[in-house]
Amino acid sequence: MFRHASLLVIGLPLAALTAGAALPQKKPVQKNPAPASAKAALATAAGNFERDVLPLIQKYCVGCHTAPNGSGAINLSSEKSFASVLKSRTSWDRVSGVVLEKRMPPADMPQPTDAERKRMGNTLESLFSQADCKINDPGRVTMRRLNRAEYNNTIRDLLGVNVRPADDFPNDDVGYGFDNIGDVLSLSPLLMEKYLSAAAKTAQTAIIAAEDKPRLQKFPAGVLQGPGSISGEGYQLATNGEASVEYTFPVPGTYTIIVRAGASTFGNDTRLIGKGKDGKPDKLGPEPAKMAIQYKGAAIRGFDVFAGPNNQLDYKTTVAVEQAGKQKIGVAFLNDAYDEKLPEGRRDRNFYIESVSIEASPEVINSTARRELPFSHRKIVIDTPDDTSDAEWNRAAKAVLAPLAHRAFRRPVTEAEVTRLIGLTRLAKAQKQSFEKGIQLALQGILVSPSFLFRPEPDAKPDDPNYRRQLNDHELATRLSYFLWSSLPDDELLGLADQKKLQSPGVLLAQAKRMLKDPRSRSLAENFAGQWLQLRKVGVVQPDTTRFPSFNDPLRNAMRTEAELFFSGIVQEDRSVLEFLDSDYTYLNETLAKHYGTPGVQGEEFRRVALQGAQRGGVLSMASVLTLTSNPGRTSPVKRGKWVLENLLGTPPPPPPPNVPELDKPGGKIEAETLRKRLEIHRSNPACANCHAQMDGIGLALENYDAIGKWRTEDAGKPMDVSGTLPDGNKFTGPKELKRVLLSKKSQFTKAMTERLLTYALGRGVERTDKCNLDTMAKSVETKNFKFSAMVEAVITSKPFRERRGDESGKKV
Amino acid sequence: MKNANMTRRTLLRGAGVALALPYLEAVAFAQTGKSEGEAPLRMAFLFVPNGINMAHWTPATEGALGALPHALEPLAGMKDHFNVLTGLTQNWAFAHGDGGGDHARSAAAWLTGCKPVKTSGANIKVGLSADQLAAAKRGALTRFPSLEIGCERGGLAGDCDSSYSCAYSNTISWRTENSPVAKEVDPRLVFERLFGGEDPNESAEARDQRKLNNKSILDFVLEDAKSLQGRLGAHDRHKIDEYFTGIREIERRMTFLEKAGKETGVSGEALKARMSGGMPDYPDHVRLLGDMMVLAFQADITRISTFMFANEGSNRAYKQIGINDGHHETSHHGRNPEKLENIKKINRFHVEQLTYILQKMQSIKEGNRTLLDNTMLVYGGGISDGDRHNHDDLPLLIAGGAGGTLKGGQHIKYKNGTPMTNLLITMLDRFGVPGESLGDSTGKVQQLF
Repeated sequence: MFRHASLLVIGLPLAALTAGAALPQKKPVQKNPAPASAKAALATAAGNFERDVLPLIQKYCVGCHTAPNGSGAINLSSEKSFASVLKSRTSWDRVSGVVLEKRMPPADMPQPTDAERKRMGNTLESLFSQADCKINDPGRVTMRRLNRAEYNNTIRDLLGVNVRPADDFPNDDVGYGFDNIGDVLSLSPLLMEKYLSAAAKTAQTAIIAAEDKPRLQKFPAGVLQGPGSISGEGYQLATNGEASVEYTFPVPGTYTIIVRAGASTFGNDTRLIGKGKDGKPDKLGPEPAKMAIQYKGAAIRGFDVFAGPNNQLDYKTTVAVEQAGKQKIGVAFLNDAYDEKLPEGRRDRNFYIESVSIEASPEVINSTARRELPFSHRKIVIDTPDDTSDAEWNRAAKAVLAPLAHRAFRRPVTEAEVTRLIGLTRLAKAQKQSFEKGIQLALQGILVSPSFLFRPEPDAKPDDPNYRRQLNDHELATRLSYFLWSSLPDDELLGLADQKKLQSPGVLLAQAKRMLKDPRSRSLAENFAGQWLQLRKVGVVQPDTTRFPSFNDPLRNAMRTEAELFFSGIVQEDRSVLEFLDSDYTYLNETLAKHYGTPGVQGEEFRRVALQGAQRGGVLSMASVLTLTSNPGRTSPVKRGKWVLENLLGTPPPPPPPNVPELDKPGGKIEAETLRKRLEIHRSNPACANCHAQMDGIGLALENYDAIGKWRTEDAGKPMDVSGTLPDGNKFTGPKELKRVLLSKKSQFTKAMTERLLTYALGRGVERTDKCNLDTMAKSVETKNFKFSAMVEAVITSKPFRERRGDESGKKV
Repeated sequence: MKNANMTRRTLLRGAGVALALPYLEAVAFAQTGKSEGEAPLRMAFLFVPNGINMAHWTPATEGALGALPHALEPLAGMKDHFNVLTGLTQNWAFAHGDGGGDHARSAAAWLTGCKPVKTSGANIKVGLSADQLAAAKRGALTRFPSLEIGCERGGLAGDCDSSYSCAYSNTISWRTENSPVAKEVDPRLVFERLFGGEDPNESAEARDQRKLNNKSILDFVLEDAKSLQGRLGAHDRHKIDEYFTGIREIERRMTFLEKAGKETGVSGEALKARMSGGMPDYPDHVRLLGDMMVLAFQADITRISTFMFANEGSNRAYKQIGINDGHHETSHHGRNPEKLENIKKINRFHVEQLTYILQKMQSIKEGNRTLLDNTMLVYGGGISDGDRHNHDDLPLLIAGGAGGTLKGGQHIKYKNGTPMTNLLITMLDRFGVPGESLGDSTGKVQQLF
C-alpha cells in the first residue's frame, strides 16, 4: 500500500527496477546426490541453456548486468552453464519474467524479437521448473499459532459460546499478504497474559459453577421507579409513596429483600416505645419514619426507620415466592410530615433509599444452577459425580475431560494428559468447591496449553531436512478445517481422523466439499478474500467526505458485504473462479444499488441482482475494491493497476527505488494537468516508464469509477479517456475491455489465485520449490471448469499440503 | 528502600485516581537532604511516522533555543525541558541494496540500529531494541518490565511496505532480534492491564487460592510445552521459546505482586469515564494513552515505555485539523506547497500531543523534582524528509531532566551521519545499563549530559 502512493514522486531508476523485486528465495536445497538419470537430464538442460538462452543473455543483458556490481545488483555474466546458474539462482530467477513481460531490456536499449524473448524466457522457465520438480520438496510450515479469527472461531465451535475474546488481543502481523503465517505469528508476553485471562473468563462463561452464581442482585437508587427523585443521599421520597423495582424471580423459593434506607428528622423528641437504633427499649428521640416493604403490591413487613439520611441501615425481610416470574418489589414511605414552624433540621421528614437488594437462598441458587444451564455447559459437562468419593469425582472428570481435550487439541490425548487435567479439577475438590468449578480449572488449562494455542505437527527428526513424512490423519483434518473454516474440525471430520480414513483423497475431498457448503466457510470470505482482495481495508478507508458526501458507514458496510457475499456465493455454490474477473450478477441492497445507479432494489437486505449493461460485474468494478485502491480525495490509477497486477495476475511490480528522484520543480506545470497527462509526463522519464506503463495502463481503464467507485463519464468537466495498453501490446478501452483482456489471461489468473490460496492454506510463503506443484495445480483447476472446489481440491491434495519435512535451518537458529 | 516504602505507603487521592505512591520516601529524603530515596529514572520513546517538514522543525541556530520553529511552537512554554537534536542518522534504514521499503526499515531500525532482513514472513529479524535491552537489565524492578503502546493496530491486508513484513512497520520494540513486542492500542485494555488488577473485595484467602490455581495451571501447560519441545524443529522451537518467556514473565509478575504485598494502582474513575464507548478520537486517543503511560511511571508500575503515535507509513487522514488526505500520501509532497503546509500542520499537531504529555509529567511532583525531571524521553521518527525518504539528519528531540542531569534548552547539532544509536547507548548508560553497544553505535554522544 505504500508503494506508488503518490504518482508525483515515483520514479524507477534502472538500478532499482529489479532489485528486491522477488520474494526472498532460500538457497536451493540440495538433497540427495542426483541420481544418474537426473544428471543426464541436467546435461540436456545445459545444452538447451547454452543454445537458447546464453547467446541472447550475452547479446542483450550482460552489458549492464555484469559481475560483480551489475545493474540492480543482478549479475548474469559469470554463469556459462545451467548447472552453475542453479547455484546462483537469485539473479537468474527473475530473468524469464521480466523478459516475457517485456519489462527488460529498457526501452532505450536494443530489443530482442518476440521470438527471441519467448525462446529465452520459456526455456529458462522450463529448465527451472524441471530442476525444482526434481527436488520434490514439500516444504516446511513453521508451527502456527491460532490467530485472532481462528481463536474466536475455535472457542465458539469447541464450547458453543460466542464470546470473541480475541477481539481484545493484539493484532496478528501480516506476512505474504495473510495474517495466518506461522513464521510471523509471534507470541509476546502481552498476548500470553491475554490468553490466561481469556481462558478464565471463557471457562466461567461456558460452565456454570454454583460458586459463580451471584446470590445477590442490587438495585441502586438510580434504577428505582416511583414519585421520588434522585438526591445525594439516594432515592428521595418527599411525600408518602412507593419506590419500586421489577425483579424476575427465576424459581419459586425463599428470597431476602434488603432495603438500605434512612430518613430526615421531624418533630420534637418523645419517649419511644420499641427498639432504637442501638437496640435499647426506651429512648428519647423524634418519631421514626415508617416504612413498609411490599411484594405484589401488599406490605409484607413494616419498619420504624431510625437511621438518618447519611447513616442509612439495612432493613431486611424474607419473602416466600410461589411462582417464578416478574414481580414488583416496593418500598413505601408512610408518614411524611412537614411543619415550617419547627426548628431547622426538625421540620421535614423525608425518606431516602440507597438501594434495594434481593438475595436468593442457597436452595434457590442450586435449583437455578440446574435449570438455567447454558448450551455450552450441557455440551461440556456431560457427567457429574454420583457421590462424594474421590474415585467417583475422578471418573466423572475423566468422562468430561477426555473428549473435551480430544476436540480442543484436535488429536488423541494420552492417559497421562487426562490424568494431569483431572489433577487440575482436584484443586477445586481440595477447596470443597463444586465439580463444575473443577472442570472450569481444567478447561483453563486446556485453553492455555500449547497444544490448543498452536497447531504443532511434531516430527521424529525435526531438524533433518531430508526427513519426509505424510501428515497423519489428525494433522490433515486440522489443516483442512483451519483452511476452510478458520476453526477446529467438527465431530464428523475428527471422527474420520480417529478412524484414519482421511488419507484417502476421495474421503478428504468429500469432506472439503461438505465443509465448503457449511456456513462456517464464510470464514474464507472474511479471512481469505478479506486479505487476498484486501477487503478488510474497506473497514478503515477514509474517503474525503467533503468531496464524496455520499460516503457513509452504511455504504461502507454495503461495499464490504457485497464483496463477501459474492465470494461466499462462488464458494458455496461452487461456481467458476473466473467470475471474480467478470460476472453478470452481483449482490446489492438499496444503499449500494443507489450508489451504482441500479434501479429496482428496495430495502437494506442484500439479494442477488442480475446486472444490465457493462458498468459492473466481477470484483474489479466493485465499489469496495475501487475505494480501497483510491486515495481519500481522488482515484489512483497507479494503486488500481498495482492491485490488479498483484492480486489478479500475480505479477507485482517491483518496489519503487529507495530514493525517489524529483520529477518537477516547485510551481511547475505538472500540477495543472489532468491525471492522465500527469502520469504521461511521469512515464516520459525512462526510469519510471517500465513499471508505470503496466500499472497506469490498467488503472486508467478504470477511471470510469471515482474514488468511491461511483460510475462517471467525465472528470472535473473533461470527458474521460479510458484507453490503456499493456506492455504485451494488448490495447483496451474502459473497464469492460480490460476485463476481456484479463479473461484472456485466465490461466495466469488461475495460477495467481491458486498461489494465494495455497499460501493461505499452508500458512507459509510459496517457495520456488512449490512452483512446480503450482503449475500442476493450476492446470487441474482449468480442466475442471475453473470451479472453486477444483482449486480447493488442488490445494488439499498437493504435496505441500499433505506432506512435511524437517527444518533445513537445523541447529542454526 | 522497597520495604520502607511498603510499610509507609500512603494512599493519595487526586484527580479521582487513588494511587499508592511509592515516592513518599522521596519527599522525606529530599527534605532531609538525603538522596537515597530518590525517585527512579524513567525512559520513554515516542515515535511519529512519515518524516517531518524539516524547514519548520529545525531551529535556525545551534546552541540556546531561541524562537521555536512552527512545528515545535507548542513546546514554547517548556523550552528548558528539552533539546532538539539534529544530524543523527539511522544508517541501516537506508537501502543498502535492498531496494524500496524505507518506511518499514526506518521503524525497524529506530531503536535497534540494525538492518532488518527483507522478508514477507520467514526469518523476520532485525535486532534487540534499546528499550528492551533496558527492560531486560532493569525491568525486574517493576511489575511490568516495559510498556508498549500505540494508536494503530497492525496492517489489515496486503504487505505493509515493499515486501517487508508488517511487523517491521508496526513495531519499534524488539525483545530479541526476531521477537517483535506487540503493542496495546485500546486505552481500555491498557488501563485494565495496568490498573485493573485485583478485586479489592476479594478476601485474602480467596486471593491465595486463586494464585495457587493459576500456578497449577501454569505448571500444567509448562509440562505440556516441554513434552512438545523435543519433537519440534528450529523454527518451531523459537515459537515455543516465546511461549516459555510469556509464562515466565507472568510468573515473575505473580511473585512480584506477592513481594509487593499489594497491587499499586487502585482505581481510576477519571480515566475510566473517558473510556466509555468505542475507540476515542485520535487526539483523545493519544492523550489517554499518554496519561496512562504517565500514571504507570508515577505509580512505578513500569519505568520504560515505547509509544507509536502512528505506525510507520500510516495513511491516516487528520480530519481534526482539516486534512482529508492521508498522511503517507501527503508526505510524498513533491515540493507541492499545499502538501508541505499540511505536513507542517500534522507535525505540529503531534507536537501538541507531546506537549500535553510532558506537561502532565511536569505537574507530578516527586520530592523537589517532577516526574518530568526524572524522565528521559525521546520524541521523533526514523525518516527526515518524507519525500526523499532519507534517514540522516533525523527529526529528534530529547525531553526531561534525566534525574537532574540533563540540561534543556539547546539545539545540539551532531555531525551528520552520527549514528542515532550513539544517543541510545548514552541514554542506556544514564539509565544504569552501561557499556552496551547497540546496532551500529560507535560510542556515546557528547554535549548531552
